[in-house]
Amino acid sequence: MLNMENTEKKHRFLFLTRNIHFHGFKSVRILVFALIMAVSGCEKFYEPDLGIGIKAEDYFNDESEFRAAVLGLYSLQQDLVEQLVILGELRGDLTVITDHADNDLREIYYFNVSPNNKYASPRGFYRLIIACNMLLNKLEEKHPNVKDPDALINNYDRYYGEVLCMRAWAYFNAARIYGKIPYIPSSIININEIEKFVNPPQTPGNPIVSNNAFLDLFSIIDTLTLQLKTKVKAVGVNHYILNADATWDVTIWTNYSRLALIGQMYLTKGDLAQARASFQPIMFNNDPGYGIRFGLDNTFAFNAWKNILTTINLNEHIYVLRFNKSDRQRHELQNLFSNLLPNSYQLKPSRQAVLYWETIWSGFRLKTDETTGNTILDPFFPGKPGDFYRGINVSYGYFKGGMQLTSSLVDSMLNYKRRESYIDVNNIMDGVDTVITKYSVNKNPFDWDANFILYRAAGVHLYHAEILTALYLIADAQNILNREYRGVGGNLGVRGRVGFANRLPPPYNTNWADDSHIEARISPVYLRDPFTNQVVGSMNLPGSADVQNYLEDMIIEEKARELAYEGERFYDLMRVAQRRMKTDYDKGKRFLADKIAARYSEAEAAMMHERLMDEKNWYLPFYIGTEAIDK
Amino acid sequence: MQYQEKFRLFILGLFLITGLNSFAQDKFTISGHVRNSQNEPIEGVSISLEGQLMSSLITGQDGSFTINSGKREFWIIFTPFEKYKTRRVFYTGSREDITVYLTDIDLEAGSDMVLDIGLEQERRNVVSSIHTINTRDFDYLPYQSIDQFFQGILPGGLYTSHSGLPGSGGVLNLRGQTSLFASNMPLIIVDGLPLEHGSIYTSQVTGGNYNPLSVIAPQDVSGISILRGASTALYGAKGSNGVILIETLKPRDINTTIEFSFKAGMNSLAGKELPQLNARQYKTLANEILASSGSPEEHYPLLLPGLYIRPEDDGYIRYSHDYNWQQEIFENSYFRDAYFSIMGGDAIGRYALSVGYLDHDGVFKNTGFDRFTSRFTGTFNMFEWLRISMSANLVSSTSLFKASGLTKETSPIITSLAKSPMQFPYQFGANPFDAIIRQLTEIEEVDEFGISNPKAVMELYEAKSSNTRFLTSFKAEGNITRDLSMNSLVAVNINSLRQNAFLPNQGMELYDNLEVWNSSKTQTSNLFSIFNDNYLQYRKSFKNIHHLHVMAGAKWMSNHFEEDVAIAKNLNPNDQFVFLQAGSNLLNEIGGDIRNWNWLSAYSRINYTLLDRYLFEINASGDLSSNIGREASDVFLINNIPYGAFYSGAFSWRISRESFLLNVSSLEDWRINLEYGVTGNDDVGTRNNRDYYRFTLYRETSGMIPASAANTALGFERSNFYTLGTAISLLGNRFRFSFDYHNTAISDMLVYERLDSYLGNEYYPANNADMVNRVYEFNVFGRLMNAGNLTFDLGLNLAKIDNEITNIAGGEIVTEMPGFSVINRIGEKANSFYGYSYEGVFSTTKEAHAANLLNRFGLPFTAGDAKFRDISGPDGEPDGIINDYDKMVLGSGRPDLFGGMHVSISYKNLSLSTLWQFVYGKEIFNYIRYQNERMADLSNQSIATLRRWSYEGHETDMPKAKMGDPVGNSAFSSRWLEDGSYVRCQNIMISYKMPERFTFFNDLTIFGNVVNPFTFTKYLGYDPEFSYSYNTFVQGADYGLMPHSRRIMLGVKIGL
Repeated sequence: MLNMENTEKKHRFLFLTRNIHFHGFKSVRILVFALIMAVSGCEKFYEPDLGIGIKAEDYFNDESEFRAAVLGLYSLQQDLVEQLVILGELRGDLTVITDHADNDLREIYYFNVSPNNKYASPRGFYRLIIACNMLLNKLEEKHPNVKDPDALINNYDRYYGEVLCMRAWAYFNAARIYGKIPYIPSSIININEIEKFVNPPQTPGNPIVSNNAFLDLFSIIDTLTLQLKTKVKAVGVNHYILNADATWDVTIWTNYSRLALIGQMYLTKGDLAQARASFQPIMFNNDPGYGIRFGLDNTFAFNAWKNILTTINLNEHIYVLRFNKSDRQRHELQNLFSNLLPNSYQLKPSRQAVLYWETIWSGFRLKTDETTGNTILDPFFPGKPGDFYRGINVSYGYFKGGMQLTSSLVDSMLNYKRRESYIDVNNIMDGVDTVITKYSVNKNPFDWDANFILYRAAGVHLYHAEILTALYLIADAQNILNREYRGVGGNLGVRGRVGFANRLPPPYNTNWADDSHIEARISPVYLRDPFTNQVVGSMNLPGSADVQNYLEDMIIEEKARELAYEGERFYDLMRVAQRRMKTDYDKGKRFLADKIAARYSEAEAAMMHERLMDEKNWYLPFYIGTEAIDK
Repeated sequence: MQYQEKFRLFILGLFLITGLNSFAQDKFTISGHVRNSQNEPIEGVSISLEGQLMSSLITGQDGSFTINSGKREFWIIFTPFEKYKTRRVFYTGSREDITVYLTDIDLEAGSDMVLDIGLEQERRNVVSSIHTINTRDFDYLPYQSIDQFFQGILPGGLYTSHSGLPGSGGVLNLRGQTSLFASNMPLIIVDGLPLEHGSIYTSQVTGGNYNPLSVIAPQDVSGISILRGASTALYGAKGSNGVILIETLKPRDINTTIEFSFKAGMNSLAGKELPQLNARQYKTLANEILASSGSPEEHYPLLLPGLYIRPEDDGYIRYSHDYNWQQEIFENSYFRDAYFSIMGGDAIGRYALSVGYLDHDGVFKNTGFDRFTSRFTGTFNMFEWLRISMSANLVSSTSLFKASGLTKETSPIITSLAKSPMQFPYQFGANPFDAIIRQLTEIEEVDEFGISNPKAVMELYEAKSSNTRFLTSFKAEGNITRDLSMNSLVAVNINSLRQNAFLPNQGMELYDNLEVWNSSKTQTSNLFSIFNDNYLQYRKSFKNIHHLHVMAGAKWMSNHFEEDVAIAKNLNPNDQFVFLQAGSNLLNEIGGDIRNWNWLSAYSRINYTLLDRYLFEINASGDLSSNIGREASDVFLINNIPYGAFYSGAFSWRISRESFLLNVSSLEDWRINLEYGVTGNDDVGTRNNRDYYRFTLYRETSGMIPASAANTALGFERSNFYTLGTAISLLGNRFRFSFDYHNTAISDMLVYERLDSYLGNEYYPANNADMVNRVYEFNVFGRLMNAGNLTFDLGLNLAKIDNEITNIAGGEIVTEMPGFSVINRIGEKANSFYGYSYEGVFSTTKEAHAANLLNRFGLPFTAGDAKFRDISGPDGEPDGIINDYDKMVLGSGRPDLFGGMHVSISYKNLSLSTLWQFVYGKEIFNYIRYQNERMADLSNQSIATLRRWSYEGHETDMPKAKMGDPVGNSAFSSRWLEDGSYVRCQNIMISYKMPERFTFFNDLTIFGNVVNPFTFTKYLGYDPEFSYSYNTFVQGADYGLMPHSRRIMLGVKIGL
């Protein structure tokens, strides 16, 4: 600058001209250089870091990334819990709506579903299925030996098995809800893949998801059971590697839960032998790491039964989806069921459900009346009404002014009923709300995080009893229901562990034999008044089919007490109905229609019965676009 | 073939003419007159010929002059004394006597320099639509950010401020709505640096909006240009909403100038308080609602003890009032604004420095905005061929506000309207003595119905947003040759926004589904942007006939944005420990987001003027945006990376220079303009185009799932526009008139299309909607009186916008918003309200029976219930059920017609001006009235509910009161929509500049004004102007933000 000022004007001009050229070119070069830099660095510039997401192409490099991807599926499964319980229970006979129920719940309750009903959408199942497909693809692509049955088992095989189970579970549940569903074999996570799937190149404009691509429930079951039996080399990884917590074992898919799923599918299809073969290894297991599991022993006997709902235990639980508020995993079930603020109390137990628990009796004796020769109730041992271990204040409860009626108050109420002292009953029961408490046991009203049990020992036992009944192995079925069944000490049976069928709690624990176990004899079966327990008649079961039906009824009743609100009720009814429909089509349908129609008001019952007699209404509509596909 | 030959001949002819001209060596003599806009001759104007040596010439007493020229075509430059502006006139030879009108110094003139991208050009040569804003008033009005000055003065530009909260900003749409999901806001460029959109910042507190323009003190602004036409194509993928160029402090002069200004004033509520039921009327209504609830009568006292309390009962005093709760939320408040700047320098370096402080309280109690701004710019002439400038801007501001609108626990308006008038803000003790002692000390707790005490909302609830922004740019301008120059700019934008809110326990309803008694929230958002722009420009004139200006360059911008949120809940109930660590572990929430996005653009512009008559402009840019998918259509690929191509052309015919109009000398300028172009919008989401995975939780650990249905074919939204316009100015620009017809077809708009349920994800982003805006713009200005020292100016602008969705995925998309629905349907306006048609109330049971309507749950509408029109059903026939099939388009929150009027009168040093603004044809969903007339719970209601249906045969338009509203009388319907048209006086301003002889200052101006003195509207809410957020779907929904205040202000400005 100073130099320039000191030079003469002419020189300065020349100097500047030179510099102009020099600097000018340099500037142009810098500009060009900057452009080249910009363009060459473009790839990174065009795809900057995603921030909180991980680019798909940067993922699946090591085992931990696969593990995280598998764990991701569990969260998608968690998202389905609310829908599963609503569809499985609100269509069954144990649940009714309250005045607070929203429109979507009402529609489910009345088997009349509109296209935007949030509980009726299969989207959640398909989110899970598609995520599974993506992961299966990646596993096959990056670790092809997962498909080789002879290769040594490693963790990738276990992930592969886990994902296959998860996908099968999603398909199976969707299929039994919708009847007919599209089977999607490929990974379609972005819109390109979706386009190619919906409009495959060879047939442009012709959606592959026509009715042909839909599989019905039985075809789905065939496909899935085959997959689970042939493609799965191993299931279940130690996801808890870092925190040695044994409860992890039953909060993921394992071989036991795989078997339970296979058994459930075979049973749904009616393949009893295969179903039995799948359940048997669960019931008659001897786990190398743990010893004998799933024994219905006294871990959850009597008062401890309700711990099934709050703890996770390797002896009862086969597969549980764990929720925990402090881990930010919650669901809405407590909100829908509970009547304590801020919960919305949209659903409550039906009267039948309550009666299942309140009209079961223990500690009574029958005797022959000396004058008439009829069998009557022994007045010295009239029995104790009610299921206080699984029912009252566990599965459901009575609330008055925000307070739960205590068990002893309910006990006295039931005893007033037995004595037919209805004024006292009314004093206790006036203004009570009946509330499903299964998802709020030991929870405060804000928790909303009860675990969701998919498979547990009692459920598998009851399935097994059902199979044995259908196979006419009556005594074995009775043993499973009532008391020990496999000669291993400590086995109590489903009813036995909560004080029915000979195993009485104090003060009724006497040496006296009682009659409260399920006994499907040829004759007679005594009919008793539900409230007073008085013998009001008897019936004979002349044929084997009658015995089977009677026992099946008893199993369905027992399932209500044991497994109510765990999401399976409607499918249990449907399965029994379908089994009976094979021998008597109408009577079979009527089994389901009778049971469910009974929960409606008198005005609605006839119409609902008619609706339920149409088998199509047992399935929800599956929409493609705005059209529901044909069942 | 023939045409081609003709074209060749035409070109040849052009060359011949120009060639001949250069050979002609005759002398031409021209004589003429110089006049002012009053047609009076001007004496003493010096006249010269551009590029020719001649002795100076001055007009005579009659304004006449005679000059000789050696050329046939040349520019004559008229340089008047200070009352008028300099003027260049292109002489084309055919006339011998010309009259030239000069423009008054305070009027807009063709020779004014207009800020455009990369250069300044003369206003008369601007081809594309560029509107400039007079920044003179910026010193005088009590506005906190410059966007407020856009209101009412931009033809076709609609500015709607978010709320009356100072500094909260607003939504500016140039020529209508331009997108559904992407940003509608123009790109704002401050001294060459593009600012981010305010919509990238989220808020943990409802109703909180961030305004990026709040970082610029209005006094710092030296020039604003609003680009809406062809030139926006130079900003390619960011240009489709228009571009606002802002130039700050510009040291033009080497004299040192110091300026100081101070203004202060008072705010008050501009509208009226809403008329609410008094205690007696409230009790009647509450009783009626309780009776309708179906709960047994003996439960009423439990539900509402205040209704049944007797004077002798304990606690009677708590329920014995008739209190107007609205007085708790509003207050008169004050504001002040001080500003200081200094500019100066010498031939080598020039600088400007400013500091400002502003403190502006809101009309809600305990709200307000304060800001400290500092700005420095320096320009250094390093060499003759190189100039370097640098600017730095540091701003720190704090905004205190209230969570308004949807959060009913903390909204001042909703709580104050809903609170029972029987109650009192302060607690009373049990015995009378205690009552006196404790009165006015302890704030009353929340009441039985869960309505927060407005006193607690205003005094204990806190929401604060602090902002620190640092903007800096470094610019080099170099001349490579005489005609070729290079510019390079590097700029950095660092913004840190921190929001803290404390939701207290005392006096407030429980939060978050009743689980939380108090809560503390913190959110920090940080943006780092770096921007670089380099371009070359070449300017050349050929023989006064061809003027060519070519510009080419490249710019890139890289952005990193991070947002962290922490929420602590259930802190100590005494509300003393407000920090995050004090929350309950179980309820802590941590969240946030990180986003990165980049933009690169290579661009070029050619301006060409032929014979001062035909003006051409061509713009083109190729843009890379990280938001665009690899497989996007309508892009070109370089290295397999997609680039969008955007371009535009403009042509302007200066018809006034044609020979047949040359003799109409009062016709200063008459142009016919044509523009055409394609611009883009790349604001389609920073992650929508990528396959990516996101985390999720299972048990104590986290897992990974595919995030969403990515669309790798996601492309730019495109605006395809053309403009036909004309502009005339007369008599030295004393009268100006312009009309433009602007048609924008916006295609490939982002929508979230619904996927079939078997495809898993619910929505995917796609470019699948089109819309068209047809805009008619009028703009008139006239100096109606110009006599001696008195001038009277009138400016008027008017715009009519027809908006229509022309295509959308599936024909229509209904979007649910809080309290209402909007629909985008082919043939309708974008974001139209969608609901039932309300047709009154069934006055008798008979009438209700005859109609036989059911609601969507199957409940019948009975006497006293709303009468909704049963339009259709699943089979296309009315089915007696009021459900989704009966919804219809009910109007739109966007006006059809809007504009403004500006009047200013000045006499000597005194000037008086006023600005009026109006919007017409806009519907408002009055959410506050919806809350205030529902009669479905025990909230207090408006006096309109006195009209409620109350007996068989009652003819009224207000349905009966019913607990819980089971049948849905208050469903979203035309009942809640109101005409939102209004005419508002924006301001009345008076200023007086002291004559110099009285002061030793250069300038001493005293001014005062009233902002928002009157609004004429039928709207029943507090204020018809609001914009809940930048989201296009909620425009027109009044969720009860702070209304605009009326402000009275006095100020002084001193220049040294």
